[in-house]
Amino acid sequence: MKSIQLSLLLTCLALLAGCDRVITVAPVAYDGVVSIQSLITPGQIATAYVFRTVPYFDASVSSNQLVIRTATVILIDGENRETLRLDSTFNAVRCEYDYYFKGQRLVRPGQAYTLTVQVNGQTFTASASTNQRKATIDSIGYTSSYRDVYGEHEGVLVTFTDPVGVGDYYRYQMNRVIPDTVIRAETVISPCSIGKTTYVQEVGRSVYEDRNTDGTRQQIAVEPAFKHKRGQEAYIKLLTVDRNTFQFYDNLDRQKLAQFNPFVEPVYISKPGQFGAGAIGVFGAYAISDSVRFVYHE
Amino acid sequence: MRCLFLSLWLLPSLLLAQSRITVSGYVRDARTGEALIGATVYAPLQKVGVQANAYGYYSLSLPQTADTIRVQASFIGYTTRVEKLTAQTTQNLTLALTAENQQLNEVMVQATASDDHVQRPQLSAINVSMKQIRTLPMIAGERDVLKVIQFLPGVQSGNEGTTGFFVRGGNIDQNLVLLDEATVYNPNHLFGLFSTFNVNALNSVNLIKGGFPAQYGGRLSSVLDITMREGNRYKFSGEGGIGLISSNLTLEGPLQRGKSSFIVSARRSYLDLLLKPFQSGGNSTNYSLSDLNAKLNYELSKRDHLFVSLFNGQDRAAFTGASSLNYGIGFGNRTATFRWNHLLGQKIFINTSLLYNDYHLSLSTTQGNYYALLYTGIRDWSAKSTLEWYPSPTHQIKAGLQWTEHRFAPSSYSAKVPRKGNSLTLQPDSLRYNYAQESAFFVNDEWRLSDKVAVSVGLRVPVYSAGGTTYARLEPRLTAKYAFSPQLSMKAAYTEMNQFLHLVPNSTASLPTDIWVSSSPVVKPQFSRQVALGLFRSVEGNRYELSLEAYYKTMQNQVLFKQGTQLLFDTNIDTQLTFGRGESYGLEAFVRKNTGRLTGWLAYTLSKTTQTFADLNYGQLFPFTYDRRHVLSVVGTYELSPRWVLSANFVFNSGGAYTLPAGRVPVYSDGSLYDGTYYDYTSRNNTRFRAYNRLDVSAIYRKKRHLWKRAYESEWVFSIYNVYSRLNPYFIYLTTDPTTKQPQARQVSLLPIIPGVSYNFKF
Repeated sequence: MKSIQLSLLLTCLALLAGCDRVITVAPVAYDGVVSIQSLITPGQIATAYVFRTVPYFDASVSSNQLVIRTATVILIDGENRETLRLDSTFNAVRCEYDYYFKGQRLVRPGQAYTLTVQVNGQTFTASASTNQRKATIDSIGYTSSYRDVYGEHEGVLVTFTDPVGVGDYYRYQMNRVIPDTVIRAETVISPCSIGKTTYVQEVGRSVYEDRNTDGTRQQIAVEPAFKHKRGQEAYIKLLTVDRNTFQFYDNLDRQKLAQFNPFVEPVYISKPGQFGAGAIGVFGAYAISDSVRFVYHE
Repeated sequence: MRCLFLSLWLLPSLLLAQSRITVSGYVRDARTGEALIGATVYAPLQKVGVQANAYGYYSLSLPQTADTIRVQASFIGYTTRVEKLTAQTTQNLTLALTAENQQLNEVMVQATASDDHVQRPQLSAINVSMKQIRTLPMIAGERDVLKVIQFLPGVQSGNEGTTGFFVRGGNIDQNLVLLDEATVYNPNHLFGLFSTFNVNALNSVNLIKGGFPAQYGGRLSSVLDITMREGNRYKFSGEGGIGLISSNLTLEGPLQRGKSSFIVSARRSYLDLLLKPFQSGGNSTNYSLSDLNAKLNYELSKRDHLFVSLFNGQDRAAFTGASSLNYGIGFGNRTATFRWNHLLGQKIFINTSLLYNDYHLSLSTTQGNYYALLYTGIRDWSAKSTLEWYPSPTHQIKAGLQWTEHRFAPSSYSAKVPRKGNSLTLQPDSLRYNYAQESAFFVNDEWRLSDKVAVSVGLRVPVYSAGGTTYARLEPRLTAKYAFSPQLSMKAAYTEMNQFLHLVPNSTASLPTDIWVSSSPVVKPQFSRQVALGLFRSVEGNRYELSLEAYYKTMQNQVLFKQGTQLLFDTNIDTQLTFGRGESYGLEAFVRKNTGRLTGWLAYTLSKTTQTFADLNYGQLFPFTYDRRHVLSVVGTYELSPRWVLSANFVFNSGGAYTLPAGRVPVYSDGSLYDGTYYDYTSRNNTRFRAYNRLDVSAIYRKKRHLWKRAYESEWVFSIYNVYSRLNPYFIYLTTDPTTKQPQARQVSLLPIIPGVSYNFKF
């Protein structure tokens, strides 16, 4: 009888235990490609992030390790040619330096630009035009609970009117200073920001198009990336982005959602992209609306 | 014109039949009266034989060459019986065979198993004896039909913990599982640990992987035809078992001795009760399964026989874990079959059936920050009539009609878990159902052209209507056999199959989030062509059975979800699907020892299966998720003594395929909610799980005992599942170390070593 009891116990424990462990996966053959992201807007200095993609389990994880320092990044605007220089800014949220290539001249409106990136003898080129219409934000609101396809959460409500004519694409941006106690929605506080306030420029998760809402007044609800305190103020802007920017970030958004959700087929990054077969990325332009001050009332 | 052709074709047979003797009847177990499905009835002098049908019925036409004739009936595990008859024109003869283990010791039991696998024009079909299934070790001492099926060549299980089985590169939905003719859409209990079939209630299990006879259709890859027992016709008896996970009880007996009987078999698990004391605050599990099989048969007359079969299998589970995976699930199958056997003379056997089956799956699961809801169900009403005609020893003709109404309820939803408030719920009552009609006509002739050459030629004509679209198809079936000798033959088969129901699997989900959808104007029927070629050999009077088969199969209109599909509350799932084609080819070797103290088999499959979808993997070819190059199974049972039986099985599968990003793409101007790391997928299913292997062993101790002066048979079953506790992969997921930010792969395994003990009794 004792043996039966023991067997019972062992079986139950075995079924409960299972196993979840880190494993070593044989690396998949992968030749890194160049990853380029450069978004320009009139009145600001052009920047470009140029990195090398690495095998998935590669030990290089930081911007410092991934940036291609030897890249030559050139921005051409008609007759003007500017070489962007490597620069960095400390990112308190990520707790590391962000590396990027930066120009010195302000980007001009209504101008066609060409970005050329040369890496190890390879040249990648893409074009963008700073001809987007500035959006006008009609009003800003807040809801503590709204439901979209991604679930139920708080949201900042941005109301604006889309001009007539299909082909407008939007992205949300909120600038604010946040204390370390509310730095992350997931309650992960960056060790670099403890005891400090941090200026953050939040970019919305989704990009929007007006294919089915052309010329109408519309409202988007955006889930903030960081928590807030009552009375905190923020400045909301609406970016009017070009088609390439929309397509690139929409693709990334769908992939990220598929990564998070184990019940969804994986989404590949569309290839070839704007830079051709040898590089992943985007060179795009956008216009920024006037900012609207917003105060969290709850 | 066709009727004229048919008449001319059969005329010689009909004329010859006038000078023949016809012996017909049933082959049954002498002790219980159970039909012995597939038993061989053979006239050795005339060298003519037939096989008993699914009801044990046979009809044998013989030339009248002498005043007496001899008829010999044989069946694996039974002593061959020889009957000497006077040569009357027609004779009704029930052949009762005695099982080997009921013989007195001094009686020599011959190895008289039928060599049908060599002689019949049937390819890629394997019958597994219930005796073998009862002795093989399974999880915690539970016997299981589907686990044994997975040891056959060309068949493989999914990853540990996934349900179903995969045949010749086909998905799990491509297997037609029939229980007394009723379709069982999900033959598994949760995680595929057990099948829904209670072994005590089953009579026969037959798997067909290719060369499908025309009476079967609606699936591309296999037919698993399971027949329930009818119950003891002569005396009341019972058997049961008490195991670690479940207990079962089967009662059977005559309603009218020799003419009618019943059988009721029930199983219920109590894992939920056992686990309760061991559950911590962070983890809680609640799981129960139950099965109920019942069958009633009544012999109205010598020519008419009625059967009613019922089956109900249910699973209910909930798991709340401190870690990543939580789920609540409930699913089940219900089937009901009403059948009427009618004999028209001695050469025509008609079976008419009314069938009902209902399958539903309700799932809510949370993994990471996401949850998914699913409700999927199919309810069918069917009517079917099959005529079996034995005009001469050279022809066995089957023809029939069937009609089915399907009702579908596909709906699912996946979303991020809300920070506040409740997740959404699905209400089955509020779902919109879709309906479809499926009918088919078929005719098949098993035609023996000479001692060496035989063919099985058939045609099936399925017609399917749904959503205002009708699909009508022609499915030719052809199998040919050439016998080099009575012990060696070569066979070839060509089949075309259509499948109108589709199970849409999700490549990344680890729980059974599968959704059944109907063919429609958007979803075209799946279609396959299969060619198979095989060599078949029997040795020492079929003590050993050997086969070597090669197959090549193409599959059209295979179904997957589009990449990134986020399912919403929507029954119109058609628009979320993408379609492609598949290709599978392989070589299967099978050696089986049928008789003696040691029985069992060795099966090896070498195969490759690929798929191509225009919308997935950049349109490039990729391996099927369950593409496994090598699958080896070894199964053995050894009767050490009249009391002790030892069994073992070993399985080795090359790892299945899954998708891993090849590269990591840093992006520094993405949404702030994200972590700036994206995946560069270079190809789908580009990585392999570790190889799967496992050894299970069991020992059975049998003894006759007495209780209240009444004898009964008892047996203790001791088993160990996964003897060396190999942690086979269930699924793999990717994470990032929060400190080092280094990406990691984590493997979840389900079943380590599991000892088991159960006690069975029979009275």
